Amino acid sequence: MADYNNRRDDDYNLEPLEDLDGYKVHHDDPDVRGWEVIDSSGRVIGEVEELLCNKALKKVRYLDVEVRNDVIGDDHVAYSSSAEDGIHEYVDSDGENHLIIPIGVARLDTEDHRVTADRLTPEMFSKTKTYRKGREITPDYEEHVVAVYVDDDERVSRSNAEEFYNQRCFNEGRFYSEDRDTRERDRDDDNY
Amino acid sequence: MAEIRIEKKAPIWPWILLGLLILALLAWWILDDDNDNLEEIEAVEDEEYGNIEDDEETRYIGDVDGDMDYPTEVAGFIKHVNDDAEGEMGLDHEYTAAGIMELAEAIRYLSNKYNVNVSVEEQTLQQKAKQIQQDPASTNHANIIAEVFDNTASALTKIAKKADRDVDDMTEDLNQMAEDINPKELTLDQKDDVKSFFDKAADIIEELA
Repeated sequence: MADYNNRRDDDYNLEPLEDLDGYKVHHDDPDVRGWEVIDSSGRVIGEVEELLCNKALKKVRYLDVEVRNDVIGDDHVAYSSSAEDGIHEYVDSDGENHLIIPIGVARLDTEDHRVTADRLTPEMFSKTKTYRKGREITPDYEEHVVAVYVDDDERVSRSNAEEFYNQRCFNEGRFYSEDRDTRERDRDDDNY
Repeated sequence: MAEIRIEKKAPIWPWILLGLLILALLAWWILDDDNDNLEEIEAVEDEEYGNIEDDEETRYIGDVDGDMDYPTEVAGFIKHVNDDAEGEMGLDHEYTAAGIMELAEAIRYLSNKYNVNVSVEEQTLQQKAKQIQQDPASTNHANIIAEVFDNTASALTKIAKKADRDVDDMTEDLNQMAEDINPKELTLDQKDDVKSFFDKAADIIEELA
């Protein structure tokens, strides 16, 4: 299991639910581990393998998704620890098949047991670098993932943990309502 | 909608404790039930007569004939008679002597219960039983048995009368059976009559017990 807690000393440590002794998914919420994950084109990109949680907030922050190898293109770039130096090396996709999705991006279909990431387009997916299971989820990686969903002018650094997790991609209600507002505004502009 | 919360799991130890408590209660209930069914036979050492109903030492044994429990003193004789399904008597004078001793015990119990003095009859039974035991080869047993049966019928008649039972109905047959024993005939040749007498005596004793 990935070492999620390296180099974190704040209250926003990510911990896989499996490692949180004495904790379980809230009885009113679904445990989505094992559910398929679908992107905006309806393509199944993988399966939820783990839930990354914030123990203090008692909330899941990310879905850890094991991506299907046939979905990872040959030109897909994997994220490695060397990325901290700003150098993104291409790593053989074999084994580099995990990515994290902010909880706010996910829409849950409790009937079909599916997670739909409506905003995760194939293009955005291709931008999201995968990581090897067992590698740490670094703050840099988190910022990289969030950057796919949040515009530059709205982005917050992970160093400000409280504000970082207050970004809309962690708040499903905000994420989809703002998206809806944007699309409605664009439509109105087109109709004008 | 995608908000997934986590919560603490409920502690398991209260359930474990409850399970252990239930097991303990079950064990206690089963063991207590077993104790009620244990057979206890108390040796009667007290020879004084008294009101049997006040005797808290009287213990009952488990059921002898499938119906009810009997006092120990009575159950011994009833069981003796019931065990002789195939006619154990034969030449076994030990069986006869033992049956007479058990009969004496049962009569003593009933005499105490109804406060009837049948000590003569009872002592006669005990003496005659010992006589048979001491001289098992004697050909005089029919005479002894005839005397035993006469005394038994006499004792049970007195007791039935004291117990306000219909004496004629209850003991008339028994008296007749006692008279039917021929003291001049070998006991072996009269074993069916002897068995019938014991059976009838057992019926009466059961009813009075």
